Order: sequence, then structure tokens, then C-alpha cells
Amino acid sequence: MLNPVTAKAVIDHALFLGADFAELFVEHHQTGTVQLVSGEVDKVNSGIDFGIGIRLFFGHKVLYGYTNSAEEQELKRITTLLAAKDKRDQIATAGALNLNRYQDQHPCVQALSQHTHLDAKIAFLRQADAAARQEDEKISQFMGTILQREQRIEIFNSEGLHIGDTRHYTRFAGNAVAQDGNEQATGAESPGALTGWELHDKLDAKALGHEIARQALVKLNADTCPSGEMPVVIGNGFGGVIFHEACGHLLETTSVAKKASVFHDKMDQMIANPVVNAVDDGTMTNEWGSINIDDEGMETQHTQLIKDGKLTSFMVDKMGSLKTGYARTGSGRRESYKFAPTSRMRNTYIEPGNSSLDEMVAGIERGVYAKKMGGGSVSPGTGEFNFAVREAYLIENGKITKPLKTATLISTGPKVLKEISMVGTDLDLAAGMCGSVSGAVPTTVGQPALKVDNILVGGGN
Amino acid sequence: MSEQQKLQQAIDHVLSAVRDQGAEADVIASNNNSFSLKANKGELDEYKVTSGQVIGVRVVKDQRVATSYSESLEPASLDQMLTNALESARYAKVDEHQQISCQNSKITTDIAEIYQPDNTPVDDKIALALSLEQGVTSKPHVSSSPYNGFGETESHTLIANTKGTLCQHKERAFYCYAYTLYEQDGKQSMQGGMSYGRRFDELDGDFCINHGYELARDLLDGEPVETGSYSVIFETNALSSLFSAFSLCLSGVGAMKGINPWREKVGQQVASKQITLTDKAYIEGGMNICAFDSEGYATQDNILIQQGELNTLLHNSHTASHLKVENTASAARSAKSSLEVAARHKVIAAGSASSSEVTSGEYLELIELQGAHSGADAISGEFSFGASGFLCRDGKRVQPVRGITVAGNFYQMLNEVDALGSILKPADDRTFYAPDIRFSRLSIGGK
Repeated sequence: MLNPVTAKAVIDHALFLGADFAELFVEHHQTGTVQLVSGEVDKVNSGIDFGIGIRLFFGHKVLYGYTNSAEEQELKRITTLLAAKDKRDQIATAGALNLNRYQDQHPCVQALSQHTHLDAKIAFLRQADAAARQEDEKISQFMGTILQREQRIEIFNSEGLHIGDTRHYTRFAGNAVAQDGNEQATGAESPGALTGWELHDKLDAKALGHEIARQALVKLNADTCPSGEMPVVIGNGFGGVIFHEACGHLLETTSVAKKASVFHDKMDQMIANPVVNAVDDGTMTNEWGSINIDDEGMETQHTQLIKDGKLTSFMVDKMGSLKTGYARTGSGRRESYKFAPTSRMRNTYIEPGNSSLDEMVAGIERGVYAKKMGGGSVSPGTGEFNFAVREAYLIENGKITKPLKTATLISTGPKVLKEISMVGTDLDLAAGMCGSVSGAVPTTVGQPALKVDNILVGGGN
Repeated sequence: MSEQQKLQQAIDHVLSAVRDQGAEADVIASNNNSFSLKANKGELDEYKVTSGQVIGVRVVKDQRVATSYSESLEPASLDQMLTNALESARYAKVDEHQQISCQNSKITTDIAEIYQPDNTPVDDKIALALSLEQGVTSKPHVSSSPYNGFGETESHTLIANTKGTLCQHKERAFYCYAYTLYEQDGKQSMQGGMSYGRRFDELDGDFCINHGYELARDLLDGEPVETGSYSVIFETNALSSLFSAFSLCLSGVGAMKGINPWREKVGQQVASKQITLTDKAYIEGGMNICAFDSEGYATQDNILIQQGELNTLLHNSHTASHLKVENTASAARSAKSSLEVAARHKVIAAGSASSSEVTSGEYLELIELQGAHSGADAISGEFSFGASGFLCRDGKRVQPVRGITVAGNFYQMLNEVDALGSILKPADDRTFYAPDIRFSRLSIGGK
């Protein structure tokens, strides 16, 4: 996408201005979206982003700029502008650019740039729509979207790195509304993968439609969720958002380096109940949060974050490594060329334990089974987090009894990690988008069902 | 060639090609320049300079609509963008209501306050960024200022269509912020302050430093209150985030799709009679001022709720035609998105209650809502968020409160208003204005 001769000239220019390190991130990003509403095609959108991000290091200071132009003159102009306040005698020399090759771990067959497959996508959405409405006449609306994108990146840096990757993302998102008189409730599912449109071979449109409708219907006329501290069993799959918010963000060197994480000085210490083992893994084939290389050009890896309750690794990007001294983990990620990379999660999950759901529920006199989770957020400095429960049930005397309206769970990372007392066997993963200082990136969350002995549930009274 | 001329040339190229294809279209083209700084440990940590452009087309062919965009203004890229849009439109439903309807609109936002010259030396901006961090970290018990920074943006937007419309808008904005991480006796508390302005010298760095510091300090010892029902006053930023989470109820697009719970409530009581909510096109100091909407229609003030009665939803030409109502000139579309609706400045009119009337007895003052993006169901109205603030009596803060949840139903809550204060307060981002509103009963989860 960018002539290596141009890239080398810009990098040389940056080092001439005194930078310790220079990097160009080139991105061509094609998107295609189709949305079905009321059984009809409501939106068909497409677009192409193209830009180049320039990152310079002067010590621990990051200078970042971007442009939509691939002209050498414009790239040098931005570089000069960035370095204007830090210009000094040259102290580093750029290595010759060598094209790095690696094995693509995430094959794609039906790429967006080859074919949009709009007919097939619309047919898929219509199937899901019909299945949802078939579930019950109380389903008053269904909206489904298929998003496909293809992100081609190329990275050059002053250490001689020249590497590229093409990432193919495909995701379905469906929402249904159930209505009974004035009462309304919603259901949603949004599976995705790092793959092309062949994802549809793995997804069952009818099953998705049924599931989305089921979620909406079960919440209609549900009882108000109780409030207060109580034991909660969190379901598998997207339930993993609890670890993502409660702990994952606090293990990124983005916050660790600033000591803005409550775990910044806890390496090799017990930070969780010994039943907790947690991983951030970028290597899982075609998984939504996977990558071949991170956005700094490092091959991704499997990173054990917590082993038997003990903190074993942070997620480390290049600048985070410089600031903290920990080795890079291939975790430098960014939404697009518009953002400098920072340490971010990939596929983050709690590993399976050996308890069954029945065993977890059996020991609870009064609590909540949070079967489906929604999104959440965290304040890294204090570890205070929250996340939404989309589908919940009351647990009474060791049995799951009746559906509840939505609720929020809140706690702090250090506290909740110690309150996880049982971990199930049914590990599952779910796709999500994670927003942070380097933008929104695809991440997978996951866990088996697990039991939290005590957490604040915010429902009604 | 100037940036403006480049955008104009690209627009002319696209519209000419659209006409050649026997179609209609509108085009949004913009360029944006920004500069931002962050500080850490007394030095600049990030220095960012950006320059970007984008053009997006919404094409209507045979009553079918599609959109496409490109970040390249090269003729070949523009042609590809249009080809993609026309190809996509073949798959869209036939919709007689979505048209390119704005004829010969030639509006230029002519409000000097939103695009003022800036000759501030870069060194002054760097000094501000450094002073924000230094100002926080020099205070007692502060372990760091993990988030702080200065930024400025300049944007130029053109909207044109095949019906002769050509509207132009330029604006410049500045912001700064500083967060305090306060630590004492093994406890942490983090809060921040933000300041926005149209000129560099409008930014209030001291406010950012002191507001965040004082809140973090005052909330440090916060504890949950007893679980139960409480009267609640939301701080203006928290109230703004609550209204944003439920903006679907004012959306004509949501009504058209059958998911807006107020879609059949126009003319009916949806809130307490004390509530009058207006979408204002212009408000002095507002940060979302534009003389035209995303179709090119002149923006206007819209009374959305008058004394509790829903007066209108927000409409663009599409939703207005579909629902057979008046267009409120609320079209919202970026170069990369489809046609939607949005308010410009939401203003809840001040009431008549004195401060002592609003704050009599016991209530919770909620400063911060956590998870407002995920804990709200805009269709059912149910919400549940993490929250922090103060337990108050007769206007005095008697106990800091943290680690609680606040839950309720937004649509029910709007009908349960005890009192409206008489002083209008802006949210930090200056797109939402409201007096203190005391809601009579919300569920609080605590100890």
C-alpha cells in the first residue's frame, strides 16, 4: 500500500529530527453493512478508509499524527510538525527494511473485497427474522445486521520492520422486541469471527432468531430483580465480561505504567481465589479477538495472566515495555490509523474449572443466576466496575425459580476476584467491542459459569 | 488548491456522476484538523497532530437508498464509492418517503462565536497541558493524574445535493480535562473535571484541577447507603447521560421502525407537568450549533415536551414523510452513516422551586453514573447503573456514597418529579441544560 522507499525516507527523516524510534502504520479498511428492519432491507452501507499513522518516540514521549495522503512530502510534513518541539541531533540510525513473513493463522475464503454476498446476507437475515417472529406473536419487531470488513495493514519501523496483515471480520447482530400491552422487552445476540462471509456456514439463522426472541419473551412481565449484596452465578460465554472489566483492563500496561491500576505492584502475588486461571490469547484460529500480528508488528501470543490465583503477566505493548520493563506480549492494538497503539486485550477468558452449574446453584439460599450479560465499564484507578445483566433468574433454596428484569452488578476488581469460589466446566466465548484510549477493538470475552459469593446487585426493591 | 476547494471539487465530481446515472443524491464532505496533548510525570506523554478528510454519498435510485463513503478524494476513489452505493441500492427496499428533498438551500453557518481565530502559541498549549497534571499532583494525597490533556479541533463541512443545495459550516473547539487519583489509608477515589470552549482562553484549567480533586477527596470515604427507595437529584452531567441513554424516545427514526416507546404518544402526557423540554438550535455558548441539519434544512427550535405533553418527535424529511408529520429539521448524518435524527441542545426549562424547596429533607445527590451505556434498555425504559454521590439533608452533604446502584424506569421516573429548580445549569459539554430536578423515588441498591 505504501512504497517501502517512501516509508524508509520518512523514517530516516524522523530519525534525522532526533527521534529514538519511528513507525508508520498504513491502513486500508473496507466495510459493508446490510440491515433488515420489519422484514425489509433498511440500510445498505459501504465505505473505504485509508490513512497512515506516524508514531515517534522521544524517550517516553509519544508523538502521533495521521493523514489520508500517501505522498512522501505530506508524510514528512506531518513528521516535521510532530517533532517541532523535540527536534535534536540525530541519535539513532534506521535499519534496512526487511519484509517479515509469518504463517497466516486465520484463513479467510469469502473476503469482502472479492464479493459482497448481499443476496446471501439478506436471505440469512430474513431467515432469522422469520424464526424470531415464529416464536410468538408477541414479537413485535426484529432488526438484524450483518457487518463485514476487511482491514489491510502494513507497518514499517526504524528497527527495520516491514510487515503486513489482512484481517477479515464478519459479525451478525440481531435484536427482537416483545410486546404485551404496555410492557416491552428486548433480546439480542451478536456472534462474530475473524473470518469472511463463510461465517454463515457456522451460524444457524433460525436458531439465532429463536434465541433472540426467547430472550425477549422471557423478560416480558418478569419480576423486578432484588437489590443488595448476594451470591450470583454468572453464566458462561459473555459472562466473561466480568473478568474483562474487573481485571483485564487493570492488567494492561496502559494503566499499569501510570500506576493507575490497583494491580500495578502485584506481580507474582495472589490477586484472585486459587480456583481462578485466566488467559489473554491472540492465537485462537479465526476467533473474533485474534490477530496474526499486533498493531506494532509483533506476532501475537498466548499470555497466561493469572495462574491458580497468582498474577503471572500483564498485557504489554512497546511503550508499556519501555516504561515498565516487562517483555512485550504482542498486545499493542488500535482501532485504526487514527490512534496510537496501546496495550489491549484480545481473547480474554477464565479457564475451565470442575464445578457444574447445578452444584453452584445448589449452595445458594437466595441469589441471582445471571445467565446473559451485557456490557460494562471500569475505572482502572480504583478498580470499580459495573456491568449489565441482560437475562436473570432468581435462585431460591438451591433452585433457579423465576425470570427477573435486567439489573447491574457492581464491585471492585480486587474484591470480586477473591469472591469467585466455584468455576464451571462449560467454557464458552463471545464477541464484543472494547473501547479504550486506542479506540474500539474487537475482543472476545469468555468463561465457564462461575459463582461469586457476594456482589452488589442493582435491581428494584 | 485550498482544502475547501478540494472538497468542493470532489462534491462536484460526485454529483455530476450521480446525474449521469439518472439518480439523485446528497453528499457530505468534511475535513478535520486536530491537535492534542497529554502529560505524565511532569513531561508531555503524548503529542498528536491529525489531518483527515472524508466524503459520503447517500444515493437514491428508483426509490431505493444506499450510502457509501471514501477517505480518498481521488476521482477513481470517488467513482468507486458511487458505484458501490448504486450497486448497494439495488438491494434496498423501495421507499417512496426517502428522497433528496431539500431544494436550493444555500445556508452558511454565520455565527462568529463558533469559529474564532486562534493565534495561541503552541508553547502556551503545552504549558496548559503540563499545568493540568502538575496542578493535580501537587495537591495532598494525590498519587497521580492518570488522565489529563488539552485538545483542539477545527472542522469544515459541506453538504450538497442534486437539487441545488450547498451548505457550509466551519467551527473550532477547545477542551481540557484532568483526573485526580486520590489515595489515603489504602482507599482510592478518582474523579475529574472538563472544560470546553470556542477560544483557548475560555478553557478553565483551574476548574478541571480543583473540581476533580475536591470530588475525589470528598468521595474517598464513601460507603453504600441502606438498600431502599430514595429521592434523587442527578448532577447535570449525570442527568445528561441518563437522557442520552434514552434518546430513542424522542426519535422519529425509532418511531418509524416501531421501536420508540413514545411512537404513539404525541399529544399525550409522558412526563410531569413541570417538564418542558426544548431542542434548541442556538444557545449562547452551546457546543452543537449549526445553521442547517444534515439534509440542508435550516435548524430551528423544537418544543419536544411541553408541560409534560409530548409535542413532537425529532424528524428528518424521511421520517416526517413516512409518519405524515412536520419535519423538525433534525436530520443527523455523518459522511459515514445513514440518515438519522438528533437533537442539537436539549434544554429542560427551569422551574419555579427555590433551592431550599428542591433540597428539603433527605435525598441522594448522584454525581456519577457508571455503565450508562450498557445498563439502560431504551425500549422498556428499565435502567440500572452503578452510582456515587452524596446523601444530603436540607441541601447539605452529610455522607459520601459509593458502591451503590440506582435503578428504575426512565419513562415512569419522568412522571415522578417532586420539584424543579429555578436555575438552569449546563452539562460540561454544553449540549444539555437543566435545572436541579428532584425525582421522588428511585431504587437504590446498597448495604
